[in-house]
Amino acid sequence: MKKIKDIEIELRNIKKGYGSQSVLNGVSLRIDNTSFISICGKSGSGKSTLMNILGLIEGYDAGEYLFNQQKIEPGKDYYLLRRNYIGFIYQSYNLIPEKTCYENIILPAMYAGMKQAEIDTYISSIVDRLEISHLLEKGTFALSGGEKQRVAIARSLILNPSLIVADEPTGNLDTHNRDAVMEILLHEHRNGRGIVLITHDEAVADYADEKIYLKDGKLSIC
Amino acid sequence: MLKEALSQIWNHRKTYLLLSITVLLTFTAIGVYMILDDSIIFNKYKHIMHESHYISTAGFDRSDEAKERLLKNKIEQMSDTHYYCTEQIQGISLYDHQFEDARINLEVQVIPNHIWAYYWSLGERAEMLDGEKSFSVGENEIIICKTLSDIMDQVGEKDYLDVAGKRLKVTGVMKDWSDTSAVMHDDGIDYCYVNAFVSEKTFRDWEKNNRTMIIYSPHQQEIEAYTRDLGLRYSSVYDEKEEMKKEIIRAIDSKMVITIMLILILGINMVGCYMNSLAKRKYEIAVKRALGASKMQIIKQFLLESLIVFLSDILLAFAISMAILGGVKIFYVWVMHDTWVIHITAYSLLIYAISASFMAVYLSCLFSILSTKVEVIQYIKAE
Ligand SMILES: Nc1ncnc2c1ncn2[C@@H]1O[C@H](COP(=O)(O)OP(=O)(O)O)[C@@H](O)[C@H]1O
Ligand SMILES: [Mg+2]
Repeated sequence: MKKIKDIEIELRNIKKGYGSQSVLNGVSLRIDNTSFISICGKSGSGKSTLMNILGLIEGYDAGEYLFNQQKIEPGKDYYLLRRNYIGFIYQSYNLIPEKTCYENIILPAMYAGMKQAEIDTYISSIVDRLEISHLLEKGTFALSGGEKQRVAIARSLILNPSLIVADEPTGNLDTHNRDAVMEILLHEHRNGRGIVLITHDEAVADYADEKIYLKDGKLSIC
Repeated sequence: MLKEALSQIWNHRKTYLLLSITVLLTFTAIGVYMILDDSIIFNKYKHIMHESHYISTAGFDRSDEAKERLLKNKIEQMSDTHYYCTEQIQGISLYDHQFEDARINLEVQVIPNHIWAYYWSLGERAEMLDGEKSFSVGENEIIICKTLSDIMDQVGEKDYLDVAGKRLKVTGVMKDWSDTSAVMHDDGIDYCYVNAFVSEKTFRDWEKNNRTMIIYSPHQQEIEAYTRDLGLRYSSVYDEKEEMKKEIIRAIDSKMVITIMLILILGINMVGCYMNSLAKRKYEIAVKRALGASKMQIIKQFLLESLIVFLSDILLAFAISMAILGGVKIFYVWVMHDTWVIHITAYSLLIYAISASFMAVYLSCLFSILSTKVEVIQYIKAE
């Protein structure tokens, strides 16, 4: 297995709003490879917004964001950091429907310009671990929710991320699949990846070392 | 990236097919219009298309005999150059017959003694009734046109014709040249213009009036310069080539206008198509961006997709245009029993290529740049 790169993220007093609506109102958070954080909160409280800022998909309005000591400026596109450090998992999987599972999984590798030989060796260890080798040539539409999420997890792992950002990864799964997905994430965490996940589910939150609550645009420890 | 573009073209084949139909229709229309127009002009002028000769005329007054000799000497040294003189002769024996109330004006063409091909106009050779295209005429001989021959038949003359005091033996009859033998009406009197050929020697003794020398030569510029130096009237009245050039230029103008118009319509249509297509693919773009694709990579993919589709459409449109023109040709050859050549000028090809590549590049760039305007977050946020 390849070495996992060190990551250190620090959010200081981050604020974010849409129009006149203030969503995040001074959020501070420290994350590294050893973190396993769960975030909960009401629907519309800004959890996804926080995740997207954290994952460098969205900018912020005020505050300070340090990524491995590098200051992140809002509005700039940090696709290289995203590509090299962060793996995303979503509630609705966000697989590209017209592609096969294999094509979905290797998509980030394709954009990163990874060599085919390297992809092939790396992908086999991942799909074995997630027990989805038999699905590779299938289209995504025929899969069950649990299978889809495992394909999505494989995709998030293909570039060997230091941090996995998961927005309600088990929200659409039954308890059996939920536990399977969480075991996978726990395993990846033990391998040295930081994990931040959003969930409503107490049982899922229990996997985390740290449980945080988002309310009125601020974080508090549960 | 090429593989990704190709597979996405396949995945979105319905959208691309719709878009392709618009492009195909437009460029097939442009192609057919251009090739048809070019072919029509080409076929109209094809007898002179590859004609290297020009027809120049030099006009002499009664006193210009010395100049005529100088010009003849000059011309006779030029390669591939032929000439003849033409003059209206009064005193044809039939002139007084008032044939069917018509006055007959004889225009004699004085040809040098050697045989050569006589051209009515560029590429259009005089022919004897039996189809023979080269002929000679000796001293005191005359070759007459069909109309004159008919007139002689009707007044009962056959082998001899009296012209300006000379009795000439009729040695041949040639086909009429379309206009010259027509009957003209003027103040109730009909004038009939007829043609005949006599030799230099026969012509020598006649009184000379206003002759015109008609020169058939590839060295038009030299002849024009020399003729003007001598102070003679110069013109180039039969110059179909100039006419053809003008027509081609006019055709280029209208081609540009029509092409620009069609392309504008296509452009407006295409922007709509692309916006639709992008709306359907925002999710794909958002996911790809979240997974680490740079804006540049997204632009490249959409640019490639669009260019591939566009360029294949244009090639296909050109092929379809050619096929349609093939149909027109078959119509001419089989139904009209005529020869017809499919022709496209370099100008048209250039206009076609420029408009096609402009369209392809411009719209593809627009498409791909619009593709990066997609808000990533909106499409991937979970509730
Ligand atoms: N792109 C956006 N534009 C405008 N408003 C947004 C956008 N994304 C989220 N919001 C608003 O911000 C608030 C927080 O949204 P979100 O972070 O998705 O909440 P959560 O994930 O906790 O349910 C919601 O009120 C939502 O309507
Ligand atoms: Mg959310």
